[in-house]
Parts: sequence; C-alpha cells; structure tokens
Amino acid sequence: MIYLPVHQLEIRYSHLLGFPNCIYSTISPFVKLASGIRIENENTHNAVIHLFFKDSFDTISVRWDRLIYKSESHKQDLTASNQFIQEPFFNLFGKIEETEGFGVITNVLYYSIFTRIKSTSEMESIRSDFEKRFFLDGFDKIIPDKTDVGVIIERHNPEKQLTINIGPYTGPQEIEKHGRGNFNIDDPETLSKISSIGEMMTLNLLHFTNKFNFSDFKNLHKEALSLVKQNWKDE
Amino acid sequence: MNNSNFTSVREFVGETKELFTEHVFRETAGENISTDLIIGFGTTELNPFVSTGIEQKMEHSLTGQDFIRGGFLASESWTKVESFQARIIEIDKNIVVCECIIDKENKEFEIREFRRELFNHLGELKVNMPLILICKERAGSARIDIKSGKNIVDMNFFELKELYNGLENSALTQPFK
Repeated sequence: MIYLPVHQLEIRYSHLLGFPNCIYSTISPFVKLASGIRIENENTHNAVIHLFFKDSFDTISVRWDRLIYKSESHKQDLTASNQFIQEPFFNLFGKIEETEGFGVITNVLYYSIFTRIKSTSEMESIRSDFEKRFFLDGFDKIIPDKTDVGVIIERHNPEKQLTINIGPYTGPQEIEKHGRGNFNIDDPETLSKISSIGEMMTLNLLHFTNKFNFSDFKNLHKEALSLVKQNWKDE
Repeated sequence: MNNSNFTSVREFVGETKELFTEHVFRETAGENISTDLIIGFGTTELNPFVSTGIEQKMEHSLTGQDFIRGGFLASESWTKVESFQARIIEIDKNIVVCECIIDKENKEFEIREFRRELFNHLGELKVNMPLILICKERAGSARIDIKSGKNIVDMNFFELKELYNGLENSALTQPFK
C-alpha cells in the first residue's frame, strides 16, 4: 500500500515589508478555526505565525516571504473538494494575496514523502532488491557495512526543479531522518499504517511561477502521483 | 506519578504557582499535556488557583470531574475532515437552513438543515450570516462544528449563484438562433 504520511506546500512570495503587523487582521478570522496558535520572533520581520489544527494534524505557518501548509497524517485524497488544503489554506492565501502590501508569487515548493509498505517482506530482501534494481556490480564494495542506500534523481529546467530520493524504508524514523526533523507524526492511525518496512520516495518539486491556486496545486499533486506510480509500477 | 513522587516534584518546582504556569504554557504551545502533570495536578490542592467566584468554582468542578477523575482525549483522530463555506438562508423556531458550497470550482451548492441548538453560541442569527461548517468523520463517529464565517467566507460566491439563478430561464442562457 502507498501512503503519504507527510506533505508540505510552500507558496513563496516577495517580502511583505510591513510584516507581521500588516497581516494580523487577515489571519485573525482564521484563528477561531485553529486548535492552537504560536508566534515566534513576535514583532520582528522574522516572525512566524503558526496555526495548529490538531484534529486533522495540519499546520499553517505564515512568514514574511511564504505561506506554509504542513500535513502530518495520511489523507485519503489531499485534493478533494473542501479538504484542508482548499478550505482554509487556499482561502487564507487568497486573503493574503488581496492585502495591500502583497507583491508577487516567486515560486512554489511541493514536498512529499511517500511510503510503500511491504509488511510481508524481510528488510534484507527489500535492500537487496533495491540494490539489484538500481546499482551495478561493484557498488557493494564502496562501503561494505553500509546501513542505508538511496538514489537521487534530479531534473532542472527553467520552470521546474525536481528532486526525487528513492530508498528502502525501515520505519517512521526514516521520515524524521529524511524530513530533517521537520515532521512529527502523532496520528495513531497514520503511525499504524506506516510502522512497517518497505520503500520510500521523497519528492521535492520547486515550481517557478507567479500564479498559483487550488487547481494548480491539484496539477502538481497529480504530477507527483504519476511519478510515484511510474516508480512503483507493480502497486 | 504517585503522591510521594509528586511531593518531590513540588519541592523541585518550589511554589505551586510555577507548576500552574508550566501547565498554561504547554496548552498555549499546542503540545500534548503530559499525563503525569495532569495526575500530579489532581493530587495537589487546586484551591490556591481558584478564587471564590462562582464561575471559577464551576470551572474547578468541571476540571475535576472531566479531566482529573474521568480522564480525557488529548487529541482526537478523524479519518475525514471537510470544511464548508455556508450562509444562513432561513431561520425557524427549531431549524436553521443553510446554503453550503459543496464544490467551489464547479459552483455546486446544497441546502442543509440543522437543529437550532447547534447555533446558540453564535448569538443573534440573521439571514445571510456567513458560517464555516467543519464535518469530521471516522468509523463509528461523526461530528459537526459550526463557526462564524465572518471575514472568512467569500459572500460573492452566493451572489454569483443568485445572479445565475435569475438568468436561468432567460434568453441569455439559450444558444443563438
């Protein structure tokens, strides 16, 4: 089974010079929807306003140069109508775009970690299958007692920068490792789904654009899913 | 954490007021409250934190009943959470009728009826009042949260729908002949 336990979307824009004071009135109506709020570096241009939505394990963070959505639970369909990403995330972004000091969108970062769970396999067979699939003979000799292997594939063009990192998956600690400690999965249901072994795929897609809305996000996610399906064809 | 342990914690933190401050900090930081702290809280005397005001006494009682003795869910997990923008279109004695945006992109709307009790926290209800309906589901359970949609709901969506409805049978919506 393929799961998406963590996902992050960053809509980056030109700096809001009046931040954070210029943004408080825009964000305030959304605070009542959140289960918690935290402000870091209050009243400086480096302020970060976090809105926590514990019921769905989602977070929205607002900075002077980006709006960040972070999901820390597997969602059946991330792009379905009225899901968190559309309401309230894109609604809030629409309101920020309407503020007087808003300039332009500079780029968008789509970051996902997909896992394919193969609970019936042994870890050693997953590792050796992976090596046979991606590496030629002789690779083993570089570090004989290696603890992890992976492949990085990149494609850069003027519109998009794509980086894919594929490797064996040994459990939720891999997400902490590859997500650089940025993600903390508390959802017991997601944890029960991914607490096994298999393969993982980290997908980092930087899209240079000055226009971005919910349907553009759907297209990015569709592109990511097609890459996932291409890699795990037998799923 | 048992009583003897808690006594040592009290000695460690000094004044119990500091322990209370820690509790408030953890809540505002949006983090899970440690069970140990909650149980410890139950074994200490809450009276120093609660004045003689009736509201605070009620709150003390609620805290005691629901959290300390009864246990509680620190955070619930739902398999599906959907948020709908909506507005009130009719207010009855027992029922409130809402128009909800089901699909923003395809301009799909639905009329839903809810019991009036669900809206009591919103104060005086008015037709056209914007709302956010948050529907949560998991196996065996469902929940609806109704929140004010002031400055969140885009009322233009509803106006566009009304405009379209007005044109529905007009010649403008027919192909040119």
